[in-house]
Amino acid sequence: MAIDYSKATGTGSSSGAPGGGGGGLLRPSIITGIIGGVIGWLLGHWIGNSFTQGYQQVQGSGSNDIAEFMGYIFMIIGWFAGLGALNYPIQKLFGVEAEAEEPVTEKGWTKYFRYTLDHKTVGVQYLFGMLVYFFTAGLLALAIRTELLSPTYHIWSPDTYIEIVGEHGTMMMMMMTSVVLGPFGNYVVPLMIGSKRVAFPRLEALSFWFTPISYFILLSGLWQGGFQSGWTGYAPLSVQQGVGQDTYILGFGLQGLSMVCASTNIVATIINYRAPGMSWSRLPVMGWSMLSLGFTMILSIPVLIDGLYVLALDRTAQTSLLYSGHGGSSFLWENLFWFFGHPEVYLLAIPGFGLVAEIIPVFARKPIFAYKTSAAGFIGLAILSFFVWQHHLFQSGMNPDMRPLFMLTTELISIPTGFIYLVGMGTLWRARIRLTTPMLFMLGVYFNFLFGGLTGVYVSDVPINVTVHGSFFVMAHFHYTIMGGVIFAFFGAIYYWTPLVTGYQLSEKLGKIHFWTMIIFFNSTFLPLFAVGLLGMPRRVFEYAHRLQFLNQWVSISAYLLGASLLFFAVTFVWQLAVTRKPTVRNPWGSRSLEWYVESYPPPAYNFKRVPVVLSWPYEYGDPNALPVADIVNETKDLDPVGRA
Amino acid sequence: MSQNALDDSRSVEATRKAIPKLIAVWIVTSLIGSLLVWFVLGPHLPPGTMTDQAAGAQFDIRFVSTLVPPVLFFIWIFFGYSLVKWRVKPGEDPLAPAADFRGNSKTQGAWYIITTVLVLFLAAFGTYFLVVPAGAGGGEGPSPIWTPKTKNMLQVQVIAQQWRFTYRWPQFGGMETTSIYLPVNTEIQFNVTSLDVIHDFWAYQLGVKADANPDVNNVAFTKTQQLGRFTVRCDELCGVWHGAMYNYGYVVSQAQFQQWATQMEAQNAAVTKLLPKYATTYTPSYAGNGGGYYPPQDPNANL
Amino acid sequence: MSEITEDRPAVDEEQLYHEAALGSLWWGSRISIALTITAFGGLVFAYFYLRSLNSHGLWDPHHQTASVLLGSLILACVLGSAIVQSVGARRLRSGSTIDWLVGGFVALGLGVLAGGFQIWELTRLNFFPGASGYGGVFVAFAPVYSIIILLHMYWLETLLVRLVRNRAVLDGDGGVGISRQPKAENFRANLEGFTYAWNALSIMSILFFVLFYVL
Ligand code: HEM
Ligand SMILES: [Cu+2]
Ligand SMILES: [Cu+2]
Repeated sequence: MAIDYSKATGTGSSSGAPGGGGGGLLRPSIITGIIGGVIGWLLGHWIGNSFTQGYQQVQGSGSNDIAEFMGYIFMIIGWFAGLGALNYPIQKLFGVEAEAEEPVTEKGWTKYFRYTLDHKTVGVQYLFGMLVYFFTAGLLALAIRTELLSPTYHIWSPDTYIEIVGEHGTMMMMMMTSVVLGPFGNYVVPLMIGSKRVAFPRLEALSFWFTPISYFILLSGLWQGGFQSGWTGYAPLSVQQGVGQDTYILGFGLQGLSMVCASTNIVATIINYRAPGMSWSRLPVMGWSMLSLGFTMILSIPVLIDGLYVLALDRTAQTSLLYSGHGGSSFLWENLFWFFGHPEVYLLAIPGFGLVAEIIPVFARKPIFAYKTSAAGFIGLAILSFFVWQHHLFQSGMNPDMRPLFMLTTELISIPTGFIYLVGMGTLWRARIRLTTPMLFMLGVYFNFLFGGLTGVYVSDVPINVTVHGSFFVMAHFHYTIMGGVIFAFFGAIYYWTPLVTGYQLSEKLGKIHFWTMIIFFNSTFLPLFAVGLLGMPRRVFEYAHRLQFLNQWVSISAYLLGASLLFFAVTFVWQLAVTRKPTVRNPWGSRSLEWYVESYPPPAYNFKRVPVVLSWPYEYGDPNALPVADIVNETKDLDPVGRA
Repeated sequence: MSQNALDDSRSVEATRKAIPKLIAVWIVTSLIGSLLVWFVLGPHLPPGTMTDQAAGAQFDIRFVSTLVPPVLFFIWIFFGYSLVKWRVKPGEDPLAPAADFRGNSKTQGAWYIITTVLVLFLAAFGTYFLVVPAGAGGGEGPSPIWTPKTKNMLQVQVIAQQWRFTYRWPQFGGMETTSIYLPVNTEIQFNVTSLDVIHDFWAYQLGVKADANPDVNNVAFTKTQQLGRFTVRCDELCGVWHGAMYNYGYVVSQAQFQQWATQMEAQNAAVTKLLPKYATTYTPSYAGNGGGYYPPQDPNANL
Repeated sequence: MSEITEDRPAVDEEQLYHEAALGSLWWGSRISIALTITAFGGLVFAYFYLRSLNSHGLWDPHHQTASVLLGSLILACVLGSAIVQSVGARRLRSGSTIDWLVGGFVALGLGVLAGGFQIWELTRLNFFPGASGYGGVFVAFAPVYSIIILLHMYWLETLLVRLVRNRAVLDGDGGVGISRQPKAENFRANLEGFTYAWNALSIMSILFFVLFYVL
């Protein structure tokens, strides 16, 4: 397909919307999306209610799942129609789509509120979208910790409490799947591989625009009675629930669709759009991690969607697939959910590790150690993660004779996980280490994940699992791996790439304050929870033994301080981008990776003036005579990075 | 030049000299750490020793915890040493290349072998301590394959429902109680099931945990060996009052237990008569299963 | 500038991105097959899982089956559509565009018919969704099946109108099936991806027929 830099001709005006280019409020944007969504919801809800005419119990009552589903489904359609995302597929139906890609040269901040095809815009949209998710779910976490200040005194009513727990867990787990792929995979990976574009810009944009609406739908559960079944949604509890459960199904399901779109795009991009000379053995490890991630998602997320769909049918169409009294089984949900759910948890780890392995060599001035091992590690994690799901069900009574096998596969996963440590330790050996903010965060990942990984061995040991399953021990385990791993890597990546993405340098001093407070309070929040779990406190409860009060209060107070540290980040981050705006120097970290050799920060439309030819491996930090990473390096070396387009 | 002097610290020779020292520090700290874990922390580790299974779990946790200090200290010492030793010094060019090597087949090979051996050992360890103590107190489904040798075990059926546990005693006329007393030095078979959603029977001090699934009999074994009180908590999210779904049980002498049980049986006799027949599961079922809660009836019968 | 720039091998960007687009079509279509297989995989798993559990003997107590007549019709339409389309696509490659156009529209008609029959069948089931395990799985399967069929038909339709509309552009150089023009190559890559995806689904359909109507 030809790359047409000019404004597209033919029928394809900007995103081909009716009245496109006309400006004003009617130009497709988040506003028209919201209008479309509202109209869709009203229409759908009305249709749903008229379907159920005559069913006295449900019609017009607050608990009409059919109207709820219809309302939301139409809302989703209206949202995408309003955003202009449906124009292209509809044009295609009539064969009048513009042959050329639409231009991605739009300027100004309003483009961030539109359905755009520029992978960099989508990356920034994702970054802020994910931060909103993270902070919302974080507030919910503080609400949980507030309740747990006292073993018996209640701040929330028990139903509110359990709904908060469910919202927190679901929102976090949904967001974590895209927290690296969304912002950094979409923004940086095409640059890293020397591409001017991504393979499927429409899928990529679609994947982002699923997230605001899935966020809204999930959150709307809070004022519709919520769902009490947690992020794991075990049936038949989830079948019993009121309409709040439907928000879980739709929210999670949309996020699943979003991830499928994003992964398809990133996989096709990495495979096909690498610049000449970017052979597989030169691909940055970040690319390897995104590739493993993409394939894992493609093969696991449809099963989640199946599970959610089956649950939706049980709640609306009177099937009974998840209820044994009529020929179904609640084990079916547990299997479908965890067949996705376990790969999911590694979907969170792999990108975090990718960031770590990508960023450490820059600050070690050494080639990455055991490059092939790290790539093999990602692939190994991806493959093995499909064979361990029953370790979440060791005590369920399902296939008890398979437990030794799943214990074995689960523990085998520690081997590729260990590779990441090998890579990190080898890279630091005889290095020249700069403890910048991004580097500190990456080292923080190693520190935290050690606890996560070691306790992984506890939970996967079936005899120990008898004591720790379902307790705060498991909860601490996965917070160490996810928050301590991927979230630390995520913040490190924000500090690392902000100069590239915005053209502004973030203060090292503020960054370090953020880092040290975050790692201290993170550990002081979650380390005691291992003990709390071992001492017998189950997860998701609002009453606990008096003897655990001190530990719980300690944890709650640490959690507030952790929240304060994150708030500190939010404030300083926005402040520095909006107010102080200190321009960055070119390639502030001295990286060899291709993304830093664009002409300006932020990179211009289409990234590179011409396709770069990759001349060497990006990690040649140890060899002063190595060729530059690509032929564009010398051309852009002396440019002023900021303010030029 | 200072530059050269600094780079000497990154030379192979310098690091070669450091390695034995690091290993010595590692061995000493790990030894101290492991001994402390085993001897000082070990006996206090949960879930205690009230039953064979609890003691087994305690042994496992103690054993795995003893392996933790070597791993932890290995990584910490390694990272700590690197960060202190090779951090950029003032006046040094931070962007100058450090050493140039991309791998080391011996180190890598050793790493792969050691981690693999460790992991396989742990899997074998876990399997042994799962199989030998008859499922280690975990839920083993309706037809457990790892069972205690004892013939006449005390049968206790745990019935979970939103949001409480009750217990049925088939050997005591099928009575159903709201409290639970267990005789000491007795092999016990728990048959765990649920009437509604998924719960989980977690008797912490007994070292027992088994999901309570509707329509499934989940069997777990334990052998009491100490008197005392134990906590029962629901350990699988089951709705609003999940957090309040707990009660306490007691391990008492065999005589006391007999007395309690006979008294309960007599006291409950009138109620027991009205209960559905003892069965392994009680889900309402049209097929007539489930202790006869529902008459045999098929939703399609008149189709 | 520096020597490196001067030594720069000539990169034909147009060609590079053309090939990348072809590769992306290849991967995109293969990923769509993977997604289809996994999506049905979950439901087929549900089928076998519930069948083997047979809770309360209620997997399929009365051996009720959705209309075998409609089921066979659906299978026949899907298989017919796939075969006609594949033959047409082969003819296209040997230069006769019109054969594929005719075959394509026939295939489209058959496919839409199959999707329609599937929805129709769902409205006239002789059992309640909750009557048995089989009933539940069938009710879950049928909408997914018809939606996926119709999505494939959407894909085919876009290919057909694209060719019809751009016949003049695409059909030069000895026909769209042979032409070395980038646009024609792109079209062929897309068509080839569709053919694989649709044939894969039609093969899966045989399995579904066996599961839901024969066993
Ligand atoms: C060394 C590698 C790891 C091992 C051996 C391991 C093992 C396990 C096991 C056996 C469980 C089930 C515990 C139970 O519920 O009884 C579990 C739970 C969990 N793990 Fe890991 N894990 C490892 C690493 C990770 C990583 C990297 C992540 C995510 C980034 C993760 C996230 C989770 C989550 C989210 C749960 C709990 C899910 C829930 O019940 O809500 N784990 N892990
Ligand atoms: Cu898992
Ligand atoms: Cu419960």
